[in-house]
Amino acid sequence: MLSLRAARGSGVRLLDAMILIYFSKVDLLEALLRLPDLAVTTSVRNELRRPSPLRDAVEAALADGLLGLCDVDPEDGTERTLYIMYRDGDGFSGLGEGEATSMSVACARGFTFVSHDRKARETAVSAGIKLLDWDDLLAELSDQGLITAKRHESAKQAIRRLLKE
Amino acid sequence: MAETGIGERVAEARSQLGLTQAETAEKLGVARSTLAEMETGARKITADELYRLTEILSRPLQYFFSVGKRASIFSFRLKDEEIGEPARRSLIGLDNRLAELAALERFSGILVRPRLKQYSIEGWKNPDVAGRNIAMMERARLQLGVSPVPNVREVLEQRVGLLAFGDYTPAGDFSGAFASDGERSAILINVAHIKGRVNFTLPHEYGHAVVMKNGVHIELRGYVDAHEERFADAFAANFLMPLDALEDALERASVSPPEITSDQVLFLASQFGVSFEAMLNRLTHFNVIETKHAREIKKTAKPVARSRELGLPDPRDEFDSLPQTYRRMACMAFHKGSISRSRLAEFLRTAQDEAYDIYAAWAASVDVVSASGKGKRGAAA
Repeated sequence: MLSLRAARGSGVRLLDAMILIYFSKVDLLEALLRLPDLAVTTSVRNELRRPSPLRDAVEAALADGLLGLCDVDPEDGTERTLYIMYRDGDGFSGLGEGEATSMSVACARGFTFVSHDRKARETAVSAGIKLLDWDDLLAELSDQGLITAKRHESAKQAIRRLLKE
Repeated sequence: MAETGIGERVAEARSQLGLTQAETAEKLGVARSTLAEMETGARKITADELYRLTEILSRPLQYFFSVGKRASIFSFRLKDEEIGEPARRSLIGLDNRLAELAALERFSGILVRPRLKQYSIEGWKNPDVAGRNIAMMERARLQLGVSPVPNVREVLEQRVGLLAFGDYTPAGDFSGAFASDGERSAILINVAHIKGRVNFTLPHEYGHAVVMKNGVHIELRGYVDAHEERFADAFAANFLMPLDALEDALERASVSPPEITSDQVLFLASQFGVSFEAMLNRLTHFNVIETKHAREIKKTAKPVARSRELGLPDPRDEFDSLPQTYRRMACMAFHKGSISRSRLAEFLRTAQDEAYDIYAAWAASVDVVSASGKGKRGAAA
């Protein structure tokens, strides 16, 4: 499992729940979890329905160390303050628990946040948080040779269809 | 504002639930002395422990991270030792719902301020008379005429702006509560009870609402202010089953009062949306049925099984835990792009994909273009 306090600026990518859901729906979760430095917060983990094959797969990946668990450190004033700001700051951010925890950890530790939610992405951009989207990870799978170019294209189309539903 | 440590928050939440340090420590899987150290700040709390505490203490993560004291409508009431842990959890749930309503007002732009008319019962010596008269005034104000009100929840939501949430509390001592933070008010109903009883608890709590301005009222067996409880019971009975409405229904059904049968009581109960027992009590109260005959009916009747045989609505029908207006506010907030899909799912207490389905159904019903029609990074993304 990834260290809770990975070095600042390391390549850790914190996944939002919908990213896991999209990859699961196009049967690419197993491939996704073979990419390095992926992590979730406990809040994101809790956002996945239980029981469900996706939640089971995520639990197994956490147990096997394929997926890291990175949470807001309760004793770290900066992370706590960022969490409160993202969760219910002056601008009433409107973010969910998983997004707020992921973004405060990403912001404080220099990690990357992976989300497709417009609201979350807007907030992340204004906070200067490094961002990725589902299509970036899909391209990485292809670049790493974990899926074929054909599979890359079909998955891209399938996720786009899911987004239009 | 002075910063409140997480340990202090843990102690506060534990105390509001009426749990001892030993009980909480056992649930957390640590020694009592360890929890004591956490509460005083002598020992650090790990993220894993904190997440477990959110479940044990029924408080969201942000409660423990918030700076300064958060006003709670239950602060004084929860010190009362007569309130058991299940009811305390329900009350904390109601406190959380009011906080969510405040957030949803900001996100959706829809305000839910109840149009409550306030009455005083101090001048009334007899709470039964006060309950009857005030119920009649309320029925007139809400233009209910002499019709039965089988869906009290809908009436309170649409005509009064008072939202009712459902919460499942299996322990039998808690039936409902009303709370107001001065701007918003809400009723919480224990949905573990059958629908007929739930439908009686709703106007009972509404009765409390029209005679108290702010604060909280909790409905517990053995925890009653006799005068106010008698008033609320009389209010609920007259709001749901006023004499003229009952007379009207009896006449239309061509029921001859002395020979009334248990099936006819069941039909009336179904028509008025109350339990078989509540209707029987009401008919006895108005001397439509003699006490002796009512006792015989009660002894032999099997209301749930017989309702099914007669094709009447199942009195154990589910009571949706979230009010329609609350759902509408959450969908509107998401539609406006004010909240993420994840936050929508939190408000709707469901998974993210299901939350989107609820939103899409709402968007279709109000004929708006769903957020997914806004392009690749639409609010629905």
